[in-house]
Amino acid sequence: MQKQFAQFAQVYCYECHGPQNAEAELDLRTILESPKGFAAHTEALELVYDAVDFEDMPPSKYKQPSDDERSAAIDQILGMKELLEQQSLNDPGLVVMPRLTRSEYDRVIRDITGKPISVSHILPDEGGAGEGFSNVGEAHSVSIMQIEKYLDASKLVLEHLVATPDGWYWSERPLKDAKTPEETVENMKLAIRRIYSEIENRVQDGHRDAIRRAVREKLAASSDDGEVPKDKQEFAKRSDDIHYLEATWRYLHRQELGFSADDLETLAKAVHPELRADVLGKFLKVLGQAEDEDAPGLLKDRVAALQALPGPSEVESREALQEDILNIYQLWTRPPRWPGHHWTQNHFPDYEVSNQRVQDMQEDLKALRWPFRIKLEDKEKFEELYLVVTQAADGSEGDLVHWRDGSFELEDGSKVPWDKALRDGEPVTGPVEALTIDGKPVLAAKSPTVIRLPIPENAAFFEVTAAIPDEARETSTVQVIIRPTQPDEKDLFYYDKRHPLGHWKESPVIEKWYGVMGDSQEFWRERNNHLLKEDHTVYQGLDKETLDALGMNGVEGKVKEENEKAKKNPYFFSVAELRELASPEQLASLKQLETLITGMARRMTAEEEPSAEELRGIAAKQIEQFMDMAWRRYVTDGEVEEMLALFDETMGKEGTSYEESLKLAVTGVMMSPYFIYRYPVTTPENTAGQDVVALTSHELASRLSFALWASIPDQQLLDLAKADKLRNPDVLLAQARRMLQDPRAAAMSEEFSAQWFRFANFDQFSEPDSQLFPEFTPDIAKAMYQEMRHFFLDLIQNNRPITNVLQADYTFANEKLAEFYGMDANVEGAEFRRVKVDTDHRGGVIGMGAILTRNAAAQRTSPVKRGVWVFEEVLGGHIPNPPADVPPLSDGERNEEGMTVVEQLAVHRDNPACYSCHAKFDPLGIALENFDPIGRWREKDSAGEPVANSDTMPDGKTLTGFQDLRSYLVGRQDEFVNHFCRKLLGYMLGRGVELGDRPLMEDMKTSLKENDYRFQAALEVILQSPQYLNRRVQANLEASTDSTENNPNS
Amino acid sequence: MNRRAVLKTLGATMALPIFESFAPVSRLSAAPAGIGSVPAGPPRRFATMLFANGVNVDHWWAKGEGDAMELSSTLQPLAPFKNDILVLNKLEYFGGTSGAHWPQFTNFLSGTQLRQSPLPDAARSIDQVIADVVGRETFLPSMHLGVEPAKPGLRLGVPAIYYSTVSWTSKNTPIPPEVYPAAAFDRLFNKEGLLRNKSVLDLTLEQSKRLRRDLSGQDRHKLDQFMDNVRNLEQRIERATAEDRLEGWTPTIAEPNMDRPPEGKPQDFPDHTKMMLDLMVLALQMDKTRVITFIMESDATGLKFDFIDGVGRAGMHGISHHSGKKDVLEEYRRINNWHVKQLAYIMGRMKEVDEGNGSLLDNTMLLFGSNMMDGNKHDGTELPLILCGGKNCDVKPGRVLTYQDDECEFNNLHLAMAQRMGVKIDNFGDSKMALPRLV
Repeated sequence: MQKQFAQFAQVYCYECHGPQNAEAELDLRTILESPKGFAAHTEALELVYDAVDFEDMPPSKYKQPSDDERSAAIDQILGMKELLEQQSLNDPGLVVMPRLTRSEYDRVIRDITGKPISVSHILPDEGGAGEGFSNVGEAHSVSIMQIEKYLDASKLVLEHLVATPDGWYWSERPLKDAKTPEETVENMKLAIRRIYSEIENRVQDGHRDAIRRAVREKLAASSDDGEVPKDKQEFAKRSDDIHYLEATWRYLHRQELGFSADDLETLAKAVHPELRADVLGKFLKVLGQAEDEDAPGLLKDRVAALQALPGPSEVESREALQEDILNIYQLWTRPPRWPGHHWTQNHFPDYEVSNQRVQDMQEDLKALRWPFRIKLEDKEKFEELYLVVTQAADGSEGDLVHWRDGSFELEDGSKVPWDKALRDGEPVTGPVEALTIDGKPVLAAKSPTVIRLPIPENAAFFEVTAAIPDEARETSTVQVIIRPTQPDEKDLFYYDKRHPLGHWKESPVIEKWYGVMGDSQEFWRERNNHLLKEDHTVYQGLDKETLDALGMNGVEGKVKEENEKAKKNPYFFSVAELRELASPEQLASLKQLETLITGMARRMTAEEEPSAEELRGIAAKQIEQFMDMAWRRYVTDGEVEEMLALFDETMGKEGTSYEESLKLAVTGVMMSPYFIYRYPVTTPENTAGQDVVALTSHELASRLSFALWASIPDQQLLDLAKADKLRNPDVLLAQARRMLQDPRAAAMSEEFSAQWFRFANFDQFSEPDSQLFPEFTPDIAKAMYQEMRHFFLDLIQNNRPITNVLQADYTFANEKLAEFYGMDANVEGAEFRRVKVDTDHRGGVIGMGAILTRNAAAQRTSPVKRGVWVFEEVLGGHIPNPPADVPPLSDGERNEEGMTVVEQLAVHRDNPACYSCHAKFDPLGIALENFDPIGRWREKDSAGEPVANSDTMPDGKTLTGFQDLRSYLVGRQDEFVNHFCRKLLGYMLGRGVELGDRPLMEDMKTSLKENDYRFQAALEVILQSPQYLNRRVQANLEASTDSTENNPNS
Repeated sequence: MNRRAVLKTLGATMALPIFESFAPVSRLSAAPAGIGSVPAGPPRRFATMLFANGVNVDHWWAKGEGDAMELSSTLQPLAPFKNDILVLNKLEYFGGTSGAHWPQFTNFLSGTQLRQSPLPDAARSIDQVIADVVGRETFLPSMHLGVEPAKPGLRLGVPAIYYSTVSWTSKNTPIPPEVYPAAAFDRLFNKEGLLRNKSVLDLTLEQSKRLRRDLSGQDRHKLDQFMDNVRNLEQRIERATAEDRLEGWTPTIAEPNMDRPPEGKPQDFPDHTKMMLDLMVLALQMDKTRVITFIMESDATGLKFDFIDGVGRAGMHGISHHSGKKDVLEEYRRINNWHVKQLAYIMGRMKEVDEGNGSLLDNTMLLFGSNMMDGNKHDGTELPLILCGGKNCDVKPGRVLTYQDDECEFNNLHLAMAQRMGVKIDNFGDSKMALPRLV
């Protein structure tokens, strides 16, 4: 058949498709003159079949075959196809032993260590082969650099390992090299502190930032200029506290509102999606102490104020409630500061020229006095003087202050005492008593007071000192300030950012302030630092004996102090509290570290060191355990012994610790081909004489886990493999179903669908012109990636119809993405969830931002890129590379003549050389023109013209806009389903799909059709196929389309 | 199953070019009389600095000789080096290939045309051919640097790595460029770390041999490639242990005169480039390697050069498709000019290193240029190329050469350079002759 067809091709094809020209990358002559013919070029055979059958070729301007010739040629092609199909029918095919790919490497390490350790960024990127996937062994080359990088990677992984004879601990973050037991202990202490710090961050910082950011963005979006309105700025800044207070208010009224005291989660989420139940719990715990006798007065006030707020039935609106809370809050949350703390923030009017040197001021404040020198130059401003004493927000009225030593300095430099002014002045608010002390007039004022004084003519300066008299040293805490106008009542309670004057060191008031209401963020940082630096965090999980051995005694005081502090501050968690909030994994890590430290302490104080023999035995056990997992099988004693030789090399030598020696052996395990390659376990001896052998249970376990999880099998799979149960099809299917429900199945979405639809690295995509599209932020790129990742994960795990890819009425979004897309859906917070979409604008992959943005140019949309993408990735077509000298399209939306890209394309297609391909995909891309270059819906282009979104396919269908394209693609659903089957089969098998796979492909399609097109229907057909369950031992299948001469089988 | 055919296939796949590198070739004995004979003294070095996506052709030219040479605005930074550059005009890519990007980048040094295939498929590149001969005498046979990591997977139906490497150890094995300066530094100087790996690699090889017995066909072939490279690394370790030197010549410095660069990939692109250039000078000066490739800009890259005054936020690839627009052409020129400035920087540094018989620059053939002329057309009918330095390598710089007819084949240049490095070959790829008139 090949021979006959070659005669036909010689006449009609070689001129363009010979070695010289090889148009469309097709050199038929070379193929047909080779002994294997199309066997090595099955995809070319498909192309030729279509071209001849549809009479696309030869092109009309060339000599045409007669009808008889053409039908004979078609028969010959079909014959060759049939021959190839028969020769390779259901053959497992050439699946070359794959090595760990870059992304598999991280997942394998994660599954061995139990920690999300990522080192793959240093590994070279992978190519792809077969149906375009990186898990195809055929594509895995190894350069010397790859070896070096594997060495580097193993070194990086081992930076996470603490190894002692008592066991191993894998730390999520790298640790330092440990050459001595003491250094190992330090590493473990650091690891413990980090875990507490992690818990803290989880409970605190992340969500606080998230709430603030979300509120800020919301406020900014609702204002005209995109800024947070002035009157809302305070709200934005304090939004997390305000939301907690609102939650507290709801808690107080929980019965009326229908919340349960046990379900803080629901209550918290009702207020704000980022609000955490554990922090709310702490809030309530702190506020709950208000009942206690000795509770700080302010705490009582706070609770009382909350209780005094109108109840749910009386509240006008949520906004009004939040406004009320904000008002109360503002009064409370501006703590007075004392010198040395945030000096620059203090309120200092520019006319107050005294105390400008910090040092002087600190001296004065210590002496409980405040000397004023007021510049009266600006007569318009200063008609009168107001001497103000506030409560300093401590809720205690009547704190005593003396105003004394007053005088005016006149413009000529002379000084006059303030006696006359005192006579003409008057108290405006509060009790004032005029005294004479040491013959001088003194005004005794009790907070809060305002005294008005007139200013004599020609006065340039006023001087006076406010001082707390001895008898009030222990009780007075006030603020003093002099103003040109009368202060309002709020200022008399607390004057914003003004230093307090008082005996602050002992002042219970300030202590309370600091303890209860201080700037929580600042506390928080301090807290974190504590955890990272100090031993008392580690202390709480260790027994006394261990502490003594490590020289860590005497930290109990710190712990006590911390617990006291934690009682008062809603944001301050003691280590004991953090332990309660730890996840089970974190708690397990803490306990493991504590066990290891305890063991280490015992060893360090033990009288006798363990013998070298004993240590070697321990190392052997530890290494073997690691090897079993890393090599995905049970290793032999000989293999362990081999690794121990590396351990022996340095163990016991000066300056080398147990940990270091052990790590060298583990490096050996990770550099072994048994780790790096997914090797077949069946050996040639037991496959002698066979071309194809059944996979063993162990091989099946590995094949399944690397397909569904892109990682190693778990214990359950290994156990089943050991019992040789996986060859039972029911067991295998049950395992596959179980594995798809496991979180590790995320790999199916992150590898299979991400490589297929080419969104794998979209979270780092940054090509859109950032000046034209400032809205396309890194966060949006990440959100678009997550949308697709979640969409496919859901599709795979929940076994949804694969046709949803074309026409889903839902997608996945978080608040940011929903807002970016302009969705109506009520989506709050950073979490992704399934949301219904308006199917006129979204739904299915063609409406997803990542696809639309990646397939655009930097400054405009690209109907070409989008069209090719749809044609190739959705419909499974193929477009050859464009020829040289293609006239370029404009960079921006219009060219210099003002033509849009769509118009330019129309001109482009007038050229017949361009038409044949562009006609197939341009309309597909043009129909997506309602999406701007970063995937937002638009009706008009940047020039304000209505978007041109209509064009006609070669089959006569006119596509106008998104909706049309969707239904059109649904109409061509069979092509998509076929493409899906091809992709999935290629991914699962790790090779390209061959002609002999056609029956399997048909089975997949039938099963899909019978099962509502549900994803797992296709997957399960593959899992039961001979292709999946067997392995070709002999490298090459002997196939050829030449059935006459060279084929030895004929 | 036909046994003979199977063996035939196996035989074909086993013939790996990598084995060629084990043939013992001494540098001196490899040198034929005449052009390729390398005198004793400081060794010759070979380096390339390649930027993809072509140039603004209106501003890429040089006229005249020596001090009287006139330079276009793009080439102005080379004004102090008029006697150190050889401007090569009219060399063409495989009979003037134009078309998609990938067929004319990754094969820049490979001398082979590419076909569209999802598997990497080029040929051993000239830097590796040279390293086979001169690389055996240095700590590293060759070094490959870049500033953009290789992209994963396929791009337009071919391996994405086609857009980011020009070095190939074998037909199917591209070498991804090292983009982490700290890793490149360690590769040059972390001898202790390297030595520690010796026993690990011994064991890896031991186990590979065992595993190999259990494999068949293609799997064996894959493992062979792995084992070959483990062996290569072991050889490097052995060389590091020996640290033998050419008689009568020692490098001008024995310890690195720069600090180890910070971990990770530098955020600032110009800084990153400078670090790589400094590493190049250091590696050559200390004779840690004699062969370096540096990819200053990947093919069809979206990289932004907006740190250059007058260059906007559009990606490089977009700018190279300037459609004849004046403002875009000006951006294009400024980017080309920036690359030339980098060249001037490294030439200046190399000139400062006095190696006795001349400067480090005189002992290095540094090829600078791009894989296409006008990026707008992907024009491979002539290439923008400058051969720098090489006064002691049978090259006479300070001139502008324009080639014609059979001379124009780009591989002629590869052949001429390889011969000057002491490699005994008569052709490379589809070379027609060693490029004449270099001296």
